[in-house]
Amino acid sequence: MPDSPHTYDKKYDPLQAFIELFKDIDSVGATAEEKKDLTLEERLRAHIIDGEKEGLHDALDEAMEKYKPLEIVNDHLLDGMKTVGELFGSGQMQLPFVLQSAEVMKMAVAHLEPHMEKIEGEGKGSIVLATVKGDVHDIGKNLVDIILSNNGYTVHNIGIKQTLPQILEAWKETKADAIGLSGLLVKSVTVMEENLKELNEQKIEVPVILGGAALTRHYCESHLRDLYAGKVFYGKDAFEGLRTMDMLKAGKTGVLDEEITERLGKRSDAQKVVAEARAKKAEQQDEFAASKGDGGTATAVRSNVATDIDVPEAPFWGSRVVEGLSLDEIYPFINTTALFRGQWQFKKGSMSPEEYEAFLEDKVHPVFERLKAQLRDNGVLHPRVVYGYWPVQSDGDDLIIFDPKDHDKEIERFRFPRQTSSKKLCIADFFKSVGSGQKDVLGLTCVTMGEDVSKLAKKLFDNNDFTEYLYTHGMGVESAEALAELWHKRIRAELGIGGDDSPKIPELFRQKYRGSRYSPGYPACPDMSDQEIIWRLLDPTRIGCQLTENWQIDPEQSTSAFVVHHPEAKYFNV
Amino acid sequence: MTANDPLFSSPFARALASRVLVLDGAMGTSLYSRDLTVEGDYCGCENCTDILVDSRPDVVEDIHKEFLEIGADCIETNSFGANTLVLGEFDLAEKATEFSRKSAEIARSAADAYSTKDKPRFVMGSMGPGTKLITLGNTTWPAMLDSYTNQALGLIEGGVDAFLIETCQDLLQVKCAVNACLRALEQKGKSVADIPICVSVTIEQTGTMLMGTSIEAAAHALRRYPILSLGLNCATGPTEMAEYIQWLGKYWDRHVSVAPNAGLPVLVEGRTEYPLKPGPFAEAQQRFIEQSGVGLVGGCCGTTPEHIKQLADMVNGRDAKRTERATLPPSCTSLYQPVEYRQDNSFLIVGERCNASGSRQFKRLLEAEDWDGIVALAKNQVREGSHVLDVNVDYAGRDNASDMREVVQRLVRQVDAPLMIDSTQVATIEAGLQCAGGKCIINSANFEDGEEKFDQICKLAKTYGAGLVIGTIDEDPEAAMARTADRKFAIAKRSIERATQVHGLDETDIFIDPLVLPISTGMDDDRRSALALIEGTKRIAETFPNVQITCGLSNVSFGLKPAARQVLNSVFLDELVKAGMTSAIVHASKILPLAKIEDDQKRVAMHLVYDKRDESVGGTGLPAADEQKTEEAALA
Repeated sequence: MPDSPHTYDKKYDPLQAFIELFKDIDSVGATAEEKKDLTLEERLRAHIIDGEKEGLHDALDEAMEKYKPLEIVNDHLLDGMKTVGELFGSGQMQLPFVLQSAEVMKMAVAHLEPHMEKIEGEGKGSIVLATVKGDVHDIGKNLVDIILSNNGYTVHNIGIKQTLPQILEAWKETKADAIGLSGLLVKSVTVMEENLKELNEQKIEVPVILGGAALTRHYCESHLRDLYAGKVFYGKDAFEGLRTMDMLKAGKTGVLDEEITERLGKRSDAQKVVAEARAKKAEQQDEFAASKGDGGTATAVRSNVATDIDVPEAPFWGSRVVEGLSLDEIYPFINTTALFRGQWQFKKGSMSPEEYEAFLEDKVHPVFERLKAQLRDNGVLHPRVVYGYWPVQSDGDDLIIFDPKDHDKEIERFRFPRQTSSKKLCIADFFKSVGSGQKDVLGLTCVTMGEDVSKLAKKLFDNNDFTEYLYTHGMGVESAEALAELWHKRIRAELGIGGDDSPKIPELFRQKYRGSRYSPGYPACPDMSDQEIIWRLLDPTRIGCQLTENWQIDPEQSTSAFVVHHPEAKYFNV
Repeated sequence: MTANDPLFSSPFARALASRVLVLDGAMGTSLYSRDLTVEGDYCGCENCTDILVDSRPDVVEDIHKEFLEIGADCIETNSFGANTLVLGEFDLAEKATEFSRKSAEIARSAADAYSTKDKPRFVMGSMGPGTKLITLGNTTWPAMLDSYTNQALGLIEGGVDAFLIETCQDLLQVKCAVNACLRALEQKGKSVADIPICVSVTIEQTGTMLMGTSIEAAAHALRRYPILSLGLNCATGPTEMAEYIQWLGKYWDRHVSVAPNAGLPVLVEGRTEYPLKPGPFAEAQQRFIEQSGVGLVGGCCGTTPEHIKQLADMVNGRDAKRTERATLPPSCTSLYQPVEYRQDNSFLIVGERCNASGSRQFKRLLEAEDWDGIVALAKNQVREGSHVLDVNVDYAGRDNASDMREVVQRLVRQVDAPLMIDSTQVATIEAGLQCAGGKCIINSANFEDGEEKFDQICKLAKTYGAGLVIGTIDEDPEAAMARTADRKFAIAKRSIERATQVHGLDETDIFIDPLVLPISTGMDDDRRSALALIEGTKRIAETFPNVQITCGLSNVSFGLKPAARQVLNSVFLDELVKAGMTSAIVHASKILPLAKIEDDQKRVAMHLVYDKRDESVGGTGLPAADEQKTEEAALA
């Protein structure tokens, strides 16, 4: 045995042995590369990418000894912004950080501007930006403004609810190179389409960039592009808008055209397959309808939603206004997922779920806490509710609303669309029918956070405080949603159907309760004009809410809904 | 709590022990239904109902009589907002004591007029939450303490039978009000044996108190106070309260009270309406009495005399029903949730990094006053597995009390972990405790500066209902810190006895810190430090099985390389836990499971802990021969 045991040396000192043992084992975590080791050019880029204001002016002053101010902007700072755009596009950078980068960019430009030689036409180009008629949503448009202005373009941002004559007036006045139109509502797509037709009428062929949540790339690049005599482009986000402007100014629209043609080509192949499948399905449905002998009218088919659900007792009939609500009661109902990911654009990107969770806790929750306190303590949010209960009966696809004082007198009628396939669901099916001899109950709500938060957001935007603007705007919208959620819970309690409520608030966002809440414009009730009927019934002007031409609510931080108690009522698409 | 406790000796407490008592209904609702004028009756102070005891005592008395007439055992004084802070909003701050006294006098004479031998009537002094909460930063502990003390003094002068601290929104508010009652009682030469304190918190529809506190956390944070009952009132109706009442009925070791609203309140067209009818209201409370042993029932917003009448008819002298109560495991709490002191298969991990003298990162953040950065550091520790967070802002040249407030205020709201408030200064500790709604742990008391300072810190634990770390340090002028197992045990024993017997702290709330000293210096005096600690821990754990034992672990490896420290700390901690250590202050992510440490590293670390040097040089003896090979390799 070569390893025969033998005794320890009498001088054995475990402390020495222990220190020896770790002689070559080092601590983990190498030191981060110091910025000072970077070259001047790399530092300029790093300031933009990291959104780092500290030391920016020194770096710029140093750079000015070497380069002309415009070279610094075009060759180095914009290069940093380009990286930011790429990181954002690939989900590796969060929007608030993009905005921080934009703020640093703006600071840098402001610092360099006095040193720039003023040469006519030196600017990269200009654009008129507007949110279309009837639409109050402006965050996407404002992001385009930030990114384009920081990339050397002159942006004439003329605001929300802009009619075509207003837009054209600005365009003629500024001689801008392009017009950018934005909108969030489905209806806004129609407005964009009308605007393009009107431009055709007026023989105006200015390039138009369209964007906003409701518009799809395909609709823009096929239908709208065919329709408009001038050039029209789709701007998925601010960076695509920037690229489009760069191409326009460089006279390279041919490249964009080619890309679009290629995309459409790929799509048309896929489309054929889908179209065939659809045709086949429609054929089967016709056959089915014919075999039932009802002449093929889809509306005559009712879904098999249960008809024997007990009708809860309404606590009162008609509508009531509620004020004096505490924000601390509302805040717990904020859907933080929607706020952080949707409104504030903190995307998960390539982070692991744990990393993302940690990121939210460290970076995002402190902001959330701060905003909750600020908006509460500065009296920016003014929660108000108008809600009520009406006796109703379904009549086919219609829902008849009776007078709260005379339950036999019809005063309004909603018509809801019915699924043509699947379960043939229709919101009307969730209520007792005319034939049942029983009256059912419908809840209606309209909640608002008031207009001060919109004003504050606008002020922040005008002061170039983009990050705060994004935070504030998002908080306003999600607080309104939270109030809607809270009030829906209250209505369930009042109707005595709160027993199915999940005790966990986040579960409520997944409809873990009895019944459903549908807002006009949702897939199950897409007809926005229902808002007019809701307005006649609820009169939300009492809480300061007006309808725009497109049936949107002004102020934006408001939402209205139908509240349905039927246990089978959940979200569905028609 | 035993039946002999002075807490249960007042007439009110004895009545509550024998039968179910019915509390009256909504004073506010009753007042608003009267035709009172702002200019005349409210003296221009709209909504200041507390002024009515001065301007319209007849109206207040009428309402009391109405409830007494229909059988209420207890009536509440019209003093919900009669404290300095609330009255200050009407420029009536100096009236707090006077209005409170008048409210009690009116109720007293009404109750006495209806009292009989068989059915004595009681007056409960109502103390509402006010309009400013400490946790939200609207006011401070000292301001609120004065405000409530003025109110409590008046209530005592007017002759109340008990205090009812009700509609509590914020744990700090409750703790402050309880202390105010105790202070006022002391000033009047009385105690809770004369006038007991009842507490009623408000659980919102969200299932927590307004600040997010669960009923479990509230019970843990309040259980060390000499309060007679804990219960719920306001915000919701009996249906929504059922879950929490059941919990209290199962775990709260004293009386439980309930005063629901008449259903969920609805503010409509400027009026508040409550839908629940008297019948179902009384039925729901009957279930509380029978199933959860609730002893004090009443009504809050929207409850009319008819509600209380049906309630009284249902109760009708019914015996108090004692239900089986389980024991709450000793715990501390964040503002939101409790954390048990004893962790299954683990130890209570106290994150060490929010410490200005132990973490350079924290020190830098503190210098920069980067509060968000400090919150992030704290959250990171929770993610790494810390159960509790140590907070130490001791930093020469800075205003430590102010720093403590800044840090604690933020941590309590943004981090869901109980705090260990760590300082050598009484004022700094107190500043932290005054901002933390949950049940904290104080770090620490010791006898180094004699019993006076030790006593001061024990009093803080008592005042703020906190746990307490006690270090084994005494007045010994040569070596204050206990180095030997004997001294560690002797000082622990002395500390535990003084803290429990003189200050009435609960044994389970005491954490003995038998002191970790470095074994990494090479000095002969230090070689046996680890061994002494293991031995001392064993003896303390055996003699005081209910006491917690903790330590600041990292000190053992002072001066070694970070990687070596990680190994030695982890190995040593494992030995300590085996010896009976229940907690440790550590950098959680730097503690390695033994399985992840290489064998030779583990073995030499063990030699170091147990001082396996040859006896001739003062060690405990060389390691067994078969351990030779690895060490030789290591030394090669």
